Amino acid sequence: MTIVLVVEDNKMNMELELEIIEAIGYSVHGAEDGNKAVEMAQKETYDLIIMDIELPDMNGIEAARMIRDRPEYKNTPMIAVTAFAMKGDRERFLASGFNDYVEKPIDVQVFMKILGKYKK
Amino acid sequence: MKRIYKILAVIALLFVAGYFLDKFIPEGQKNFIEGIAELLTVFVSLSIFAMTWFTYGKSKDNHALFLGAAFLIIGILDFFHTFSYPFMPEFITPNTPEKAAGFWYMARLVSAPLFLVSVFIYKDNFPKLINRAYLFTLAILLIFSLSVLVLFFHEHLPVIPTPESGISTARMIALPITSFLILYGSYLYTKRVQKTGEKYLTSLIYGFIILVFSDIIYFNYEIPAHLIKVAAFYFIFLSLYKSSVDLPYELLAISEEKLRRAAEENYKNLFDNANDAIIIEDLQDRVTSWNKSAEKIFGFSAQEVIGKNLSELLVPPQLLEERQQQVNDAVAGRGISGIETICMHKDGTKIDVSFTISPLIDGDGRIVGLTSIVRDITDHKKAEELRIETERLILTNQTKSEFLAMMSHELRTPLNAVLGFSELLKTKYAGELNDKQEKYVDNVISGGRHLLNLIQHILDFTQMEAGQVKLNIERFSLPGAINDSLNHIKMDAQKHNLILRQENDPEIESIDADRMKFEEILFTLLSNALKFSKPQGGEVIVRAKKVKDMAQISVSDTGIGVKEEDMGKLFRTFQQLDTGTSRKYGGTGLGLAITKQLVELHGGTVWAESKYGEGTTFTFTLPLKSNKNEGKQ
Repeated sequence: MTIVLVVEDNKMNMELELEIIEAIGYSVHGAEDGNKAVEMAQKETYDLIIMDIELPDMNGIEAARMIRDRPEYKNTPMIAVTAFAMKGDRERFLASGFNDYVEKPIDVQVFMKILGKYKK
Repeated sequence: MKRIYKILAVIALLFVAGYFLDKFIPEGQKNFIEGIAELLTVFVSLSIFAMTWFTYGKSKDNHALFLGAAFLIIGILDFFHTFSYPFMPEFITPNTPEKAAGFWYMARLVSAPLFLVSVFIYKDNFPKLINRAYLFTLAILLIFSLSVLVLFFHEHLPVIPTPESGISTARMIALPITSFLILYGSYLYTKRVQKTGEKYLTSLIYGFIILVFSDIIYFNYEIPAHLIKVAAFYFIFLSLYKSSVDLPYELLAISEEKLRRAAEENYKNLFDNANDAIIIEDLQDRVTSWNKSAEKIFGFSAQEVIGKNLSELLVPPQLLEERQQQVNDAVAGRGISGIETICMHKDGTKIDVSFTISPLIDGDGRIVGLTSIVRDITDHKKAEELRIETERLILTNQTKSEFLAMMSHELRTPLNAVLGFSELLKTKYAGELNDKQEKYVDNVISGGRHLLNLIQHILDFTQMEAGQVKLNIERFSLPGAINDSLNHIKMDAQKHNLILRQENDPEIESIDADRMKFEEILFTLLSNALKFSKPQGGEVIVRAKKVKDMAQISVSDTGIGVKEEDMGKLFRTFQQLDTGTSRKYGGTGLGLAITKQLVELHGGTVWAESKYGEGTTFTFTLPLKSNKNEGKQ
C-alpha cells in the first residue's frame, strides 16, 4: 500500500488533500509544519510526499531538501502543491528538486491523475 | 642717406680738429694726444671684445663673437703699439719707432683678412669652430706669436715704415692689400645686408671704410688719423652692440609681449566663454568684473552690477550671514570650493548654484580682491530629484508586484478549499447528490472558477501595466495558429450552434510574434464572439490579410452587436456594457483590456466595428517581422 505524507499548514486544505488521497485508496499522514514533517519522515518511510511551500517554520523547499538528504528518500517522489502560481513558479519548484507541481486551487481530477502516477 | 652725410660731417670735423691740433700743439705734446687717442681705440676694441664675449651666452651670435675675438687681437696689439713709443717706459725690449710701427702694422694686417672672413660668418653657423674656448685660444696664440715677432725679430721683418722713415716699399704693398681686403669685405657685407636685412651691419661697414681712410692718411696726418680711427672703432662697436645687446633684448621684449598677449587672450577667452559665472570683486565685496555667463545665470548685465555690492545683489536675506562669513574667510586667504547654495536671479527666482570663492592675489602676494566661480546647478538638482523620484517609483513597482504575488497566493489558498471540496462532492465520493444539490455544487464551482479567472486577469493586467511582461517572439505559421485556436473552441461553438470559418491570405505564411500571447488574444476575441452570439446561432469568421508590413486579423460574428454609445467602453477595464451583462454572460471585464495591452505590446492596434443587433467585428494588427524585440518589455 502506498503511504503518503502531506505537509500543509491550512487545516481545510489539509483535510481536502487527505480526503482526495484516501479517495484513491492510498494511506496518508499529515504534518502541519516543516519540522514535524522531517520528524515524521524519520519514523516512517513514505512512498510519496505532498509539500505545501508556505509553511509557518520554514519553506517547503527547505523541508523537502532536509527529507531528501536522508538516504532512504533519495528517490522518493515529492509534489509541490502550492498557491504560488505566478509565471515561473512551476519552473522554480521543479528546479529545486520537486518531481511534480500542482497549483492551488487544485483541480481534483488533475490532482488524482498525478497521484495515480506514483502508485507503489 | 642722411646718416652718411652726418658720418661724413663727423669725419670731416675730426679731420679738421686733428689738423689744427697737429698745427698748433707743440711737438712734444703731440705724443700725449696720440697716446690718448690710441688708448681710446684700445678701450673701444676691448669693449667690443668684452661685450660680444659676455653676451654670447644669451645672444648666441657667432658672427659677433668672431669679430669680438678679432678685436681682442687688434686691441692688445694696439695696446702694445702704444707702449712701444719711444716716449713710453721700456716695454720688454727697448722702444723704437720701428717697434711701435711693427705692432701697428700687425694689427692692421690681422684686422683686414679677419674682417673679410667675418662676412661669411652668420649668427648660427660654424658652431664647432666658433665657440669661446676655441676662439680665445687662437686669439692668445696669435697675439703671442705676433708680439714675439715684433719684439725680438722686427729687424728681420721687411722694412716697417714709420712716420719718420716715410713711404716705403712694404707700405706701398701692405696698404693697398689691406685696403682692398676691407673694401671688398665691405662690398660683400653690403650684398649680405641686402639679402638678409641685417641692417645693424651697416655701421660695421661704415666703421671699416673709415678705418681704411684713417690708414691711408696716417702717414701724412697722424693726429687726424688717430682721431678718425677712434670714430671708426666706435661705429664698429655700435654695430656689434646692436647685434649682441639690443637685438636680443628686443627679441626678449617681443616674446614677452607675445606671451603676455597670449596669456591675456587665454584669460579673456576663458572669461568670456566659460559656462560658469566668473565674478571678480574688491575687498569690499563690490563687483569689478562680470562675465557673460554671469549675465546669463543671474540676469544682470555687467553695467548693472559693476561697483555694486555682490551679496546684496545675489544672496537671499536668510543666507547673508553665512555669505559674510565666507567673504571674511576668503579675504583672510581661506577660499571655499564648490559650496552648494542658493542665489537670487534678477527676476527674484531662486537658482541652485555651486559657489567657489578664492582670494585674488597681486604680484606682491597681497590679497586685493575675490574671484568667484559660480555654476548654475538647477538642472543638475532637478535631474537628481528626478532620479530619486524614479528610484522611488521603481521601488513602488517592486513593492506592488510583491504585493500582487502575495495577494494571488492568499486568494488562491481559501479558493482551494472551496473548489476542491465542491469538486470532491461532485465525484460523489461522499455519497450521491440529488439534482438540486448537484446544481448548487455546480454554481459554487462556477463562481469559484470565475473568481480564479478574475485573480489571474488582474495579475496579468497589472503586470502588463507595470511593463513587467516580456514577449517571447518566435516565427510561426499564422494560418496554423488560427486553426489551432479555432479547434480549441470547436466544441463550445457547436453548443452555440455556430459555424466557424477561416479565411487566409496566401501572402501571409508566417509571423514573428509571441505565440502564446497571440493565441490568448484570439481566444479572448473568439470567446466573446461565442458568448455574445444569438440563441439561434450564426457564424464566426476569422480573416487574416496582409496590409503593408502588418498582419491584419479580424474576428467577425453575427451576434447581438454593440450599441453605438457603448463602443468607447469596450477596451476599458471592468466596463461590461450593462450591469446585467456580467450576470448574464460571465467574464471578468478585463479580457479586452488585456487584449489591447497584448496587441500594443507587439506594436499593433486593435479596434471594433459593430451594428447593434447584427454583429461585431474585432480587428487587430501585428507586425509581420519583428524588429529584434525579442525579450523587449
